[in-house]
Amino acid sequence: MTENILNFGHGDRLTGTLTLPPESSPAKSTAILLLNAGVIHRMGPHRINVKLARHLAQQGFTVLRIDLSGQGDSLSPERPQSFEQQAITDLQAAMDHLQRITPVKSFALAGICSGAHHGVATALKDERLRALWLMDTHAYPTPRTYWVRAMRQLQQQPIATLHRWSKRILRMPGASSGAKPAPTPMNDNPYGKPSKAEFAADIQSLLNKQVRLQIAYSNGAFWTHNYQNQWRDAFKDHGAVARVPTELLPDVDHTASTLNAQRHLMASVSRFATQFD
Amino acid sequence: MNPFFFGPLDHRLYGVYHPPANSQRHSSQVLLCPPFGQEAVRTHRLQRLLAEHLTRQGVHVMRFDYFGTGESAGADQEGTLTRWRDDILMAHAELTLRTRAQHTTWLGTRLGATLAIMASELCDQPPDRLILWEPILNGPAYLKELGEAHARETFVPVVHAQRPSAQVRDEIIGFGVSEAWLKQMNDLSITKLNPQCKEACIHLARAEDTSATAPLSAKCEAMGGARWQHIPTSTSVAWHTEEAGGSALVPPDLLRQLVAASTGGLA
Repeated sequence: MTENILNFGHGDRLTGTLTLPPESSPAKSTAILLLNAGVIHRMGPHRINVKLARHLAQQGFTVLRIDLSGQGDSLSPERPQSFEQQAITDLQAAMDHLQRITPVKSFALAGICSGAHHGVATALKDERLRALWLMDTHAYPTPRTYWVRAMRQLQQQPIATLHRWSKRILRMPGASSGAKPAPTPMNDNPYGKPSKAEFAADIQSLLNKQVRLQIAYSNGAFWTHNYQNQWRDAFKDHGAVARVPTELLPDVDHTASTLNAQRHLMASVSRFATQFD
Repeated sequence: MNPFFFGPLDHRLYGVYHPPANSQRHSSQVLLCPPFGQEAVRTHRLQRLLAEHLTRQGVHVMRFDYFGTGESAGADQEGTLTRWRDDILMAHAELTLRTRAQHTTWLGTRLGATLAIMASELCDQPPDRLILWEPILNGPAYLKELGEAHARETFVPVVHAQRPSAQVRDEIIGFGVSEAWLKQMNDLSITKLNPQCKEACIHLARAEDTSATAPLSAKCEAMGGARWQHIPTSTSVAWHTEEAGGSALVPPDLLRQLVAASTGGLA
Protein backbone atom coordinates (compact mmCIF):
# COMPACT_ATOMS: atom_id res chain seq x y z
CA MET A 1 0.00 0.00 0.00
CA THR A 2 1.33 3.41 -0.91
CA GLU A 3 0.03 6.91 -0.32
CA ASN A 4 0.61 9.96 -2.49
CA ILE A 5 -0.50 13.55 -2.23
CA LEU A 6 -2.39 14.81 -5.25
CA ASN A 7 -3.16 18.35 -6.32
CA PHE A 8 -5.83 18.64 -8.97
CA GLY A 9 -8.77 20.66 -10.20
CA HIS A 10 -8.69 24.18 -11.61
CA GLY A 11 -5.27 25.65 -10.84
CA ASP A 12 -4.43 22.55 -8.81
CA ARG A 13 -6.33 24.12 -5.91
CA LEU A 14 -7.68 20.86 -4.57
CA THR A 15 -5.73 18.44 -2.40
CA GLY A 16 -6.26 14.75 -1.87
CA THR A 17 -4.45 11.68 -0.64
CA LEU A 18 -4.33 8.74 -3.01
CA THR A 19 -4.02 5.33 -1.38
CA LEU A 20 -3.02 2.60 -3.78
CA PRO A 21 -3.36 -1.14 -3.17
CA PRO A 22 -0.24 -3.23 -2.59
CA GLU A 23 1.59 -4.06 -5.80
CA SER A 24 1.10 -7.74 -5.04
CA SER A 25 -2.69 -7.54 -5.28
CA PRO A 26 -4.44 -6.81 -8.58
CA ALA A 27 -5.99 -3.35 -8.53
CA LYS A 28 -9.75 -3.24 -9.01
CA SER A 29 -11.23 -1.07 -11.73
CA THR A 30 -13.49 0.81 -9.29
CA ALA A 31 -11.92 3.60 -7.28
CA ILE A 32 -13.45 4.75 -4.02
CA LEU A 33 -13.82 8.41 -3.09
CA LEU A 34 -13.89 9.61 0.51
CA LEU A 35 -14.43 13.25 1.42
CA ASN A 36 -14.92 15.67 4.25
CA ALA A 37 -17.65 15.04 6.79
CA GLY A 38 -18.93 18.43 7.80
CA VAL A 39 -15.98 20.75 8.34
CA ILE A 40 -13.49 18.03 9.21
CA HIS A 41 -10.48 17.78 6.92
CA ARG A 42 -9.99 14.76 4.70
CA MET A 43 -8.61 12.46 7.38
CA GLY A 44 -12.22 12.28 8.52
CA PRO A 45 -13.67 12.37 12.00
CA HIS A 46 -11.35 10.55 14.40
CA ARG A 47 -9.10 9.70 11.42
CA ILE A 48 -11.72 7.27 10.12
CA ASN A 49 -11.08 8.13 6.44
CA VAL A 50 -7.38 7.31 6.77
CA LYS A 51 -8.13 3.98 8.43
CA LEU A 52 -10.89 3.17 5.95
CA ALA A 53 -8.76 4.09 2.92
CA ARG A 54 -5.92 1.86 4.05
CA HIS A 55 -8.34 -0.96 4.82
CA LEU A 56 -9.95 -0.71 1.37
CA ALA A 57 -6.56 -0.48 -0.35
CA GLN A 58 -5.66 -3.79 1.25
CA GLN A 59 -8.74 -5.17 -0.53
CA GLY A 60 -7.36 -3.97 -3.86
CA PHE A 61 -9.11 -0.62 -4.18
CA THR A 62 -7.64 2.66 -5.27
CA VAL A 63 -8.91 5.21 -2.77
CA LEU A 64 -8.82 8.98 -3.01
CA ARG A 65 -9.55 11.07 0.07
CA ILE A 66 -10.46 14.61 -0.91
CA ASP A 67 -10.58 18.00 0.73
CA LEU A 68 -13.36 19.90 -1.01
CA SER A 69 -12.74 23.54 -1.98
CA GLY A 70 -11.77 25.70 0.96
CA GLN A 71 -11.67 22.81 3.39
CA GLY A 72 -8.69 21.03 4.94
CA ASP A 73 -5.70 21.67 2.69
CA SER A 74 -7.63 22.71 -0.43
CA LEU A 75 -7.79 26.32 -1.50
CA SER A 76 -11.02 28.19 -1.98
CA PRO A 77 -12.24 28.38 -5.57
CA GLU A 78 -11.41 31.44 -7.63
CA ARG A 79 -15.02 31.62 -8.78
CA PRO A 80 -17.19 30.20 -6.01
CA GLN A 81 -20.35 28.31 -6.87
CA SER A 82 -23.20 27.22 -4.65
CA PHE A 83 -22.19 24.80 -1.89
CA GLU A 84 -23.76 21.82 -3.69
CA GLN A 85 -22.50 22.71 -7.16
CA GLN A 86 -18.99 23.32 -5.85
CA ALA A 87 -18.92 19.86 -4.29
CA ILE A 88 -20.05 18.32 -7.58
CA THR A 89 -17.39 20.26 -9.49
CA ASP A 90 -14.72 19.16 -7.01
CA LEU A 91 -15.72 15.50 -7.12
CA GLN A 92 -15.81 15.56 -10.92
CA ALA A 93 -12.33 17.11 -10.93
CA ALA A 94 -11.18 14.28 -8.67
CA MET A 95 -12.62 11.67 -11.04
CA ASP A 96 -11.11 13.40 -14.08
CA HIS A 97 -7.69 13.43 -12.45
CA LEU A 98 -7.85 9.84 -11.26
CA GLN A 99 -8.81 8.67 -14.73
CA ARG A 100 -5.82 10.50 -16.14
CA ILE A 101 -3.30 8.91 -13.79
CA THR A 102 -4.76 5.46 -13.06
CA PRO A 103 -6.60 2.82 -15.12
CA VAL A 104 -9.78 3.02 -12.98
CA LYS A 105 -13.01 2.87 -14.96
CA SER A 106 -15.70 3.77 -12.45
CA PHE A 107 -16.16 5.23 -9.00
CA ALA A 108 -17.86 4.55 -5.71
CA LEU A 109 -18.23 7.03 -2.87
CA ALA A 110 -18.58 6.53 0.86
CA GLY A 111 -19.95 9.62 2.56
CA ILE A 112 -21.10 10.57 6.01
CA CYS A 113 -23.78 13.24 6.55
CA SER A 114 -22.98 16.15 4.21
CA GLY A 115 -20.53 13.82 2.43
CA ALA A 116 -23.45 11.50 1.71
CA HIS A 117 -25.47 14.35 0.23
CA HIS A 118 -22.55 15.42 -1.93
CA GLY A 119 -22.41 11.85 -3.19
CA VAL A 120 -26.08 11.80 -4.15
CA ALA A 121 -25.86 15.19 -5.88
CA THR A 122 -22.81 14.12 -7.88
CA ALA A 123 -24.13 10.69 -8.85
CA LEU A 124 -27.28 12.34 -10.20
CA LYS A 125 -25.13 14.37 -12.59
CA ASP A 126 -22.16 12.17 -13.41
CA GLU A 127 -22.44 8.66 -14.89
CA ARG A 128 -19.01 7.64 -13.62
CA LEU A 129 -20.15 7.51 -10.01
CA ARG A 130 -21.71 4.05 -9.95
CA ALA A 131 -22.10 3.25 -6.25
CA LEU A 132 -22.85 5.14 -3.03
CA TRP A 133 -22.48 4.10 0.60
CA LEU A 134 -24.29 6.78 2.55
CA MET A 135 -24.36 7.12 6.31
CA ASP A 136 -26.79 9.42 8.11
CA THR A 137 -28.34 10.90 5.03
CA HIS A 138 -31.85 12.33 5.36
CA ALA A 139 -34.15 10.36 7.66
CA TYR A 140 -37.93 10.17 7.60
CA PRO A 141 -39.51 9.01 10.86
CA THR A 142 -42.56 6.79 10.88
CA PRO A 143 -45.03 6.36 13.75
CA ARG A 144 -42.97 3.37 14.84
CA THR A 145 -39.86 5.58 15.07
CA TYR A 146 -41.55 7.64 17.76
CA TRP A 147 -42.70 4.49 19.52
CA VAL A 148 -39.19 2.99 19.54
CA ARG A 149 -37.81 6.25 20.81
CA ALA A 150 -40.39 6.50 23.58
CA MET A 151 -39.84 2.92 24.69
CA ARG A 152 -36.10 3.44 24.85
CA GLN A 153 -36.56 6.57 26.93
CA LEU A 154 -38.91 4.72 29.23
CA GLN A 155 -36.49 1.83 29.55
CA GLN A 156 -33.44 3.93 30.29
CA GLN A 157 -34.90 6.84 32.22
CA PRO A 158 -38.23 5.50 33.52
CA ILE A 159 -38.94 7.98 36.28
CA ALA A 160 -37.81 11.07 34.42
CA THR A 161 -39.64 9.96 31.29
CA LEU A 162 -42.92 9.25 33.08
CA HIS A 163 -42.62 12.55 34.91
CA ARG A 164 -42.08 14.40 31.63
CA TRP A 165 -44.96 12.64 29.89
CA SER A 166 -47.36 13.21 32.75
CA LYS A 167 -46.52 16.91 32.78
CA ARG A 168 -47.17 17.11 29.06
CA ILE A 169 -50.46 15.25 29.32
CA LEU A 170 -51.67 17.36 32.19
CA ARG A 171 -50.29 20.50 30.50
CA MET A 172 -48.78 21.55 33.76
CA PRO A 173 -46.98 24.89 33.83
CA GLY A 174 -43.27 24.52 33.23
CA ALA A 175 -43.74 21.15 31.58
CA SER A 176 -40.44 21.35 29.82
CA SER A 177 -38.42 23.19 32.42
CA GLY A 178 -37.24 20.15 34.38
CA ALA A 179 -36.99 17.78 31.47
CA LYS A 180 -33.90 17.14 29.43
CA PRO A 181 -34.38 18.52 25.93
CA ALA A 182 -34.21 16.15 23.00
CA PRO A 183 -30.68 15.75 21.66
CA THR A 184 -29.86 18.27 18.99
CA PRO A 185 -28.67 16.57 15.80
CA MET A 186 -25.13 17.57 14.97
CA ASN A 187 -25.27 20.71 12.91
CA ASP A 188 -22.61 19.92 10.34
CA ASN A 189 -24.84 19.55 7.35
CA PRO A 190 -25.65 22.67 5.37
CA TYR A 191 -28.05 20.86 3.04
CA GLY A 192 -31.69 21.53 3.68
CA LYS A 193 -33.89 18.53 4.22
CA PRO A 194 -35.95 17.72 1.15
CA SER A 195 -39.49 16.42 1.43
CA LYS A 196 -39.82 12.66 1.44
CA ALA A 197 -41.21 12.76 -2.08
CA GLU A 198 -38.30 14.87 -3.33
CA PHE A 199 -35.73 12.60 -1.71
CA ALA A 200 -37.50 9.50 -3.03
CA ALA A 201 -37.42 11.02 -6.52
CA ASP A 202 -33.65 11.50 -6.25
CA ILE A 203 -33.15 7.94 -5.04
CA GLN A 204 -35.39 6.66 -7.82
CA SER A 205 -33.31 8.60 -10.36
CA LEU A 206 -30.18 6.92 -9.00
CA LEU A 207 -31.86 3.51 -9.27
CA ASN A 208 -32.86 4.31 -12.85
CA LYS A 209 -29.22 5.04 -13.57
CA GLN A 210 -28.35 1.68 -11.95
CA VAL A 211 -26.30 3.29 -9.21
CA ARG A 212 -25.73 0.79 -6.42
CA LEU A 213 -26.80 2.08 -3.05
CA GLN A 214 -26.28 1.19 0.57
CA ILE A 215 -27.92 3.44 3.12
CA ALA A 216 -26.66 3.23 6.69
CA TYR A 217 -27.85 5.00 9.81
CA SER A 218 -25.74 5.37 12.93
CA ASN A 219 -27.07 5.61 16.44
CA GLY A 220 -26.50 9.35 16.07
CA ALA A 221 -29.64 9.34 13.95
CA PHE A 222 -31.59 7.50 16.68
CA TRP A 223 -34.03 10.35 17.17
CA THR A 224 -35.13 10.17 13.54
CA HIS A 225 -34.14 6.68 12.35
CA ASN A 226 -34.03 3.85 14.83
CA TYR A 227 -35.30 0.49 13.62
CA GLN A 228 -34.21 -1.94 10.96
CA ASN A 229 -37.08 -1.63 8.49
CA GLN A 230 -37.74 2.06 8.89
CA TRP A 231 -36.58 2.93 5.39
CA ARG A 232 -38.91 0.33 3.90
CA ASP A 233 -41.82 1.61 5.98
CA ALA A 234 -41.08 5.26 5.26
CA PHE A 235 -40.89 4.75 1.49
CA LYS A 236 -43.50 2.02 1.12
CA ASP A 237 -45.44 4.18 -1.34
CA HIS A 238 -42.39 4.85 -3.48
CA GLY A 239 -41.92 1.55 -5.31
CA ALA A 240 -38.34 0.38 -5.74
CA VAL A 241 -37.02 3.10 -3.44
CA ALA A 242 -38.39 1.14 -0.48
CA ARG A 243 -36.22 -1.84 -1.44
CA VAL A 244 -32.89 0.01 -1.35
CA PRO A 245 -30.55 -1.92 0.98
CA THR A 246 -30.33 -0.21 4.34
CA GLU A 247 -28.45 -1.01 7.47
CA LEU A 248 -28.82 0.10 11.06
CA LEU A 249 -25.45 0.49 12.75
CA PRO A 250 -26.30 0.61 16.47
CA ASP A 251 -22.64 0.46 17.51
CA VAL A 252 -21.63 3.39 15.32
CA ASP A 253 -22.21 7.02 16.24
CA HIS A 254 -22.42 9.92 13.81
CA THR A 255 -18.67 10.56 13.76
CA ALA A 256 -17.39 7.06 14.64
CA SER A 257 -15.93 8.35 17.87
CA THR A 258 -14.76 5.03 19.30
CA LEU A 259 -12.46 2.38 17.85
CA ASN A 260 -15.33 -0.10 18.09
CA ALA A 261 -17.56 2.21 16.06
CA GLN A 262 -14.81 2.58 13.48
CA ARG A 263 -14.48 -1.21 13.12
CA HIS A 264 -18.22 -1.54 12.49
CA LEU A 265 -18.23 1.33 10.02
CA MET A 266 -15.29 -0.09 8.08
CA ALA A 267 -16.92 -3.52 8.03
CA SER A 268 -20.10 -2.02 6.56
CA VAL A 269 -18.24 -0.19 3.78
CA SER A 270 -16.11 -3.27 3.10
CA ARG A 271 -19.18 -5.47 2.73
CA PHE A 272 -20.61 -2.99 0.24
CA ALA A 273 -17.33 -2.78 -1.65
CA THR A 274 -17.11 -6.53 -2.18
CA GLN A 275 -19.66 -6.07 -4.99
CA PHE A 276 -17.20 -4.14 -7.14
CA ASP A 277 -14.55 -5.34 -9.58
CA MET B 1 0.33 25.88 0.31
CA ASN B 2 2.41 22.85 -0.68
CA PRO B 3 1.45 19.53 0.90
CA PHE B 4 4.10 16.79 0.78
CA PHE B 5 5.48 13.72 2.51
CA PHE B 6 8.91 13.79 4.05
CA GLY B 7 11.17 11.53 6.09
CA PRO B 8 12.33 7.96 5.52
CA LEU B 9 10.06 5.56 3.63
CA ASP B 10 9.17 3.59 6.74
CA HIS B 11 8.41 6.76 8.70
CA ARG B 12 6.81 9.15 6.25
CA LEU B 13 5.34 12.26 7.74
CA TYR B 14 2.84 14.60 6.18
CA GLY B 15 3.72 18.26 6.01
CA VAL B 16 2.26 21.39 4.47
CA TYR B 17 4.68 24.17 3.60
CA HIS B 18 3.22 27.65 3.34
CA PRO B 19 5.65 29.89 1.42
CA PRO B 20 5.72 33.56 2.36
CA ALA B 21 4.14 36.23 0.21
CA ASN B 22 6.87 37.36 -2.18
CA SER B 23 6.51 41.03 -1.48
CA GLN B 24 7.11 40.58 2.24
CA ARG B 25 9.50 37.61 2.28
CA HIS B 26 12.05 37.60 5.09
CA SER B 27 14.20 35.07 6.82
CA SER B 28 11.89 33.80 9.54
CA GLN B 29 10.21 30.44 9.78
CA VAL B 30 7.52 29.06 12.06
CA LEU B 31 6.96 25.37 12.69
CA LEU B 32 3.51 24.54 14.02
CA CYS B 33 3.48 21.54 16.37
CA PRO B 34 -0.05 20.18 16.61
CA PRO B 35 -1.82 18.86 19.70
CA PHE B 36 -3.05 15.30 20.25
CA GLY B 37 -6.12 13.48 18.93
CA GLN B 38 -9.40 15.33 18.87
CA GLU B 39 -7.59 18.53 19.83
CA ALA B 40 -5.68 18.32 16.54
CA VAL B 41 -8.92 17.91 14.59
CA ARG B 42 -10.42 20.78 16.56
CA THR B 43 -7.52 23.14 15.79
CA HIS B 44 -6.78 22.11 12.20
CA ARG B 45 -8.65 25.05 10.72
CA LEU B 46 -7.07 27.49 13.15
CA GLN B 47 -3.58 26.22 12.30
CA ARG B 48 -4.21 26.65 8.58
CA LEU B 49 -5.51 30.19 9.01
CA LEU B 50 -2.64 31.01 11.34
CA ALA B 51 -0.21 29.81 8.68
CA GLU B 52 -1.92 31.94 6.05
CA HIS B 53 -1.81 35.03 8.27
CA LEU B 54 1.89 34.52 8.93
CA THR B 55 2.78 34.03 5.27
CA ARG B 56 1.14 37.35 4.49
CA GLN B 57 3.69 38.87 6.87
CA GLY B 58 6.55 37.23 4.99
CA VAL B 59 7.09 34.23 7.24
CA HIS B 60 7.77 30.67 6.05
CA VAL B 61 5.39 28.27 7.84
CA MET B 62 5.11 24.52 8.03
CA ARG B 63 2.40 22.37 9.53
CA PHE B 64 2.86 18.63 9.92
CA ASP B 65 1.35 15.49 11.44
CA TYR B 66 3.22 13.23 13.85
CA PHE B 67 3.74 9.58 12.94
CA GLY B 68 0.52 7.61 13.38
CA THR B 69 -1.60 10.78 13.30
CA GLY B 70 -3.46 12.76 10.66
CA GLU B 71 -2.17 12.19 7.15
CA SER B 72 1.16 10.69 8.24
CA ALA B 73 2.05 7.03 7.93
CA GLY B 74 1.46 4.66 10.80
CA ALA B 75 -1.46 3.46 12.86
CA ASP B 76 -2.77 5.40 15.85
CA GLN B 77 -1.17 3.01 18.31
CA GLU B 78 2.31 3.41 16.81
CA GLY B 79 2.74 6.91 18.18
CA THR B 80 4.80 7.57 21.30
CA LEU B 81 5.85 10.83 22.89
CA THR B 82 9.52 10.22 22.13
CA ARG B 83 8.74 9.41 18.51
CA TRP B 84 6.65 12.57 18.18
CA ARG B 85 9.42 14.60 19.86
CA ASP B 86 11.81 13.29 17.21
CA ASP B 87 9.23 14.08 14.52
CA ILE B 88 9.46 17.75 15.50
CA LEU B 89 13.20 17.61 14.95
CA MET B 90 12.66 15.96 11.57
CA ALA B 91 10.06 18.55 10.56
CA HIS B 92 12.35 21.36 11.70
CA ALA B 93 15.18 19.96 9.55
CA GLU B 94 12.82 19.67 6.59
CA LEU B 95 11.57 23.23 6.94
CA THR B 96 15.08 24.63 7.37
CA LEU B 97 16.24 22.75 4.30
CA ARG B 98 13.51 24.46 2.28
CA THR B 99 13.89 27.98 3.64
CA ARG B 100 17.47 28.45 4.93
CA ALA B 101 15.78 30.85 7.33
CA GLN B 102 17.87 32.52 10.03
CA HIS B 103 15.18 32.92 12.66
CA THR B 104 13.09 30.01 13.89
CA THR B 105 9.94 29.84 15.99
CA TRP B 106 8.26 26.67 17.14
CA LEU B 107 4.64 27.12 18.09
CA GLY B 108 3.27 24.15 20.00
CA THR B 109 -0.32 23.65 20.98
CA ARG B 110 -1.17 21.66 24.15
CA LEU B 111 0.76 18.36 23.93
CA GLY B 112 2.51 19.81 20.87
CA ALA B 113 3.95 22.52 23.13
CA THR B 114 5.22 19.90 25.54
CA LEU B 115 6.78 17.92 22.71
CA ALA B 116 8.36 21.13 21.41
CA ILE B 117 10.02 21.66 24.80
CA MET B 118 11.28 18.07 24.75
CA ALA B 119 12.59 18.50 21.19
CA SER B 120 14.28 21.81 22.04
CA GLU B 121 16.40 19.97 24.59
CA LEU B 122 17.81 17.74 21.84
CA CYS B 123 18.15 20.28 19.06
CA ASP B 124 21.66 21.36 18.03
CA GLN B 125 20.29 24.77 17.17
CA PRO B 126 17.32 25.39 19.48
CA PRO B 127 14.62 27.68 18.15
CA ASP B 128 14.87 31.39 18.74
CA ARG B 129 11.31 31.48 19.99
CA LEU B 130 9.33 28.79 21.68
CA ILE B 131 5.61 29.52 21.87
CA LEU B 132 3.72 27.29 24.25
CA TRP B 133 -0.04 27.48 23.92
CA GLU B 134 -1.59 25.83 26.97
CA PRO B 135 1.20 23.23 27.27
CA ILE B 136 0.53 19.90 28.99
CA LEU B 137 2.78 19.89 32.03
CA ASN B 138 1.30 17.08 34.09
CA GLY B 139 0.83 13.78 32.25
CA PRO B 140 -1.40 12.00 34.78
CA ALA B 141 -3.66 15.05 35.05
CA TYR B 142 -3.91 15.22 31.26
CA LEU B 143 -4.77 11.53 31.09
CA LYS B 144 -7.53 12.15 33.61
CA GLU B 145 -8.81 15.03 31.49
CA LEU B 146 -8.70 12.88 28.36
CA GLY B 147 -10.47 9.99 30.08
CA GLU B 148 -13.25 12.25 31.28
CA ALA B 149 -13.54 13.76 27.81
CA HIS B 150 -13.77 10.28 26.30
CA ALA B 151 -16.53 9.28 28.70
CA ARG B 152 -18.41 12.51 28.02
CA GLU B 153 -17.99 12.78 24.25
CA THR B 154 -18.71 9.14 23.40
CA PHE B 155 -21.81 8.87 25.56
CA VAL B 156 -25.16 9.38 23.90
CA PRO B 157 -28.03 9.60 26.41
CA VAL B 158 -30.94 7.28 25.63
CA VAL B 159 -28.86 5.44 23.00
CA HIS B 160 -26.32 4.13 25.53
CA ALA B 161 -27.43 2.49 28.74
CA GLN B 162 -24.45 3.75 30.71
CA ARG B 163 -21.61 6.22 30.46
CA PRO B 164 -18.28 4.71 29.34
CA SER B 165 -15.43 4.42 31.80
CA ALA B 166 -13.29 7.52 32.27
CA GLN B 167 -10.22 5.32 32.70
CA VAL B 168 -8.01 5.54 29.62
CA ARG B 169 -7.20 2.07 28.34
CA ASP B 170 -6.49 1.78 24.64
CA GLU B 171 -8.28 4.75 23.09
CA ILE B 172 -9.24 8.34 23.62
CA ILE B 173 -12.29 9.55 21.67
CA GLY B 174 -11.57 7.29 18.72
CA PHE B 175 -7.79 7.64 18.69
CA GLY B 176 -5.93 4.50 19.68
CA VAL B 177 -3.07 4.69 22.16
CA SER B 178 -0.50 2.06 23.16
CA GLU B 179 0.78 0.97 26.55
CA ALA B 180 4.08 2.70 25.74
CA TRP B 181 2.22 5.96 25.06
CA LEU B 182 0.33 5.65 28.33
CA LYS B 183 3.51 4.95 30.27
CA GLN B 184 5.26 7.95 28.77
CA MET B 185 2.26 10.13 29.48
CA ASN B 186 2.13 8.96 33.09
CA ASP B 187 5.82 9.85 33.42
CA LEU B 188 5.34 13.34 32.00
CA SER B 189 6.06 15.99 34.58
CA ILE B 190 7.01 19.65 34.51
CA THR B 191 10.07 18.83 36.60
CA LYS B 192 11.53 16.88 33.67
CA LEU B 193 11.02 19.64 31.10
CA ASN B 194 13.86 22.02 30.27
CA PRO B 195 12.89 24.40 27.46
CA GLN B 196 15.78 25.59 25.33
CA CYS B 197 15.52 28.69 23.16
CA LYS B 198 17.70 31.66 22.28
CA GLU B 199 15.37 34.60 22.48
CA ALA B 200 12.05 34.04 24.20
CA CYS B 201 9.79 31.41 25.63
CA ILE B 202 6.23 32.63 25.29
CA HIS B 203 3.43 31.07 27.26
CA LEU B 204 -0.13 31.56 26.04
CA ALA B 205 -2.80 30.53 28.49
CA ARG B 206 -5.58 31.87 30.59
CA ALA B 207 -4.39 34.14 33.36
CA GLU B 208 -5.31 31.64 36.06
CA ASP B 209 -2.93 29.07 34.55
CA THR B 210 0.17 31.23 35.02
CA SER B 211 1.26 29.87 38.39
CA ALA B 212 1.54 26.30 37.09
CA THR B 213 4.37 27.30 34.80
CA ALA B 214 6.55 28.99 37.44
CA PRO B 215 9.16 26.17 37.38
CA LEU B 216 9.40 26.47 33.59
CA SER B 217 9.82 30.24 33.63
CA ALA B 218 12.56 29.88 36.26
CA LYS B 219 14.41 27.35 34.10
CA CYS B 220 13.98 29.55 31.05
CA GLU B 221 15.39 32.61 32.76
CA ALA B 222 18.24 30.55 34.23
CA MET B 223 19.35 29.76 30.67
CA GLY B 224 20.50 33.31 30.28
CA GLY B 225 19.57 35.38 27.30
CA ALA B 226 16.08 34.00 26.79
CA ARG B 227 13.16 35.73 28.43
CA TRP B 228 9.92 34.21 29.68
CA GLN B 229 6.73 35.97 28.67
CA HIS B 230 3.19 35.13 29.59
CA ILE B 231 0.41 36.24 27.28
CA PRO B 232 -2.99 35.87 28.94
CA THR B 233 -5.79 34.67 26.71
CA SER B 234 -9.42 35.31 27.38
CA THR B 235 -10.62 32.59 25.04
CA SER B 236 -11.49 29.26 26.60
CA VAL B 237 -11.17 26.50 24.01
CA ALA B 238 -13.42 23.44 24.23
CA TRP B 239 -10.52 21.19 23.32
CA HIS B 240 -12.28 17.86 23.15
CA THR B 241 -15.64 18.69 21.64
CA GLU B 242 -16.72 17.65 18.21
CA GLU B 243 -15.75 20.34 15.77
CA ALA B 244 -19.38 20.91 14.86
CA GLY B 245 -20.38 21.31 18.45
CA GLY B 246 -21.25 24.96 18.09
CA SER B 247 -18.14 26.61 19.52
CA ALA B 248 -15.94 28.79 17.32
CA LEU B 249 -13.24 26.89 15.47
CA VAL B 250 -11.15 30.01 14.99
CA PRO B 251 -11.70 32.57 17.75
CA PRO B 252 -10.49 35.87 16.22
CA ASP B 253 -8.80 37.12 19.41
CA LEU B 254 -6.85 33.91 19.76
CA LEU B 255 -5.73 33.99 16.14
CA ARG B 256 -4.56 37.56 16.58
CA GLN B 257 -2.60 36.66 19.71
CA LEU B 258 -0.95 33.67 18.07
CA VAL B 259 0.07 35.75 15.04
CA ALA B 260 1.46 38.47 17.28
CA ALA B 261 3.40 36.00 19.43
CA SER B 262 4.84 34.33 16.33
CA THR B 263 5.99 37.55 14.75
CA GLY B 264 7.26 39.26 17.86
CA GLY B 265 4.48 41.81 18.02
CA LEU B 266 2.71 42.56 21.26
CA ALA B 267 -0.56 40.77 21.78
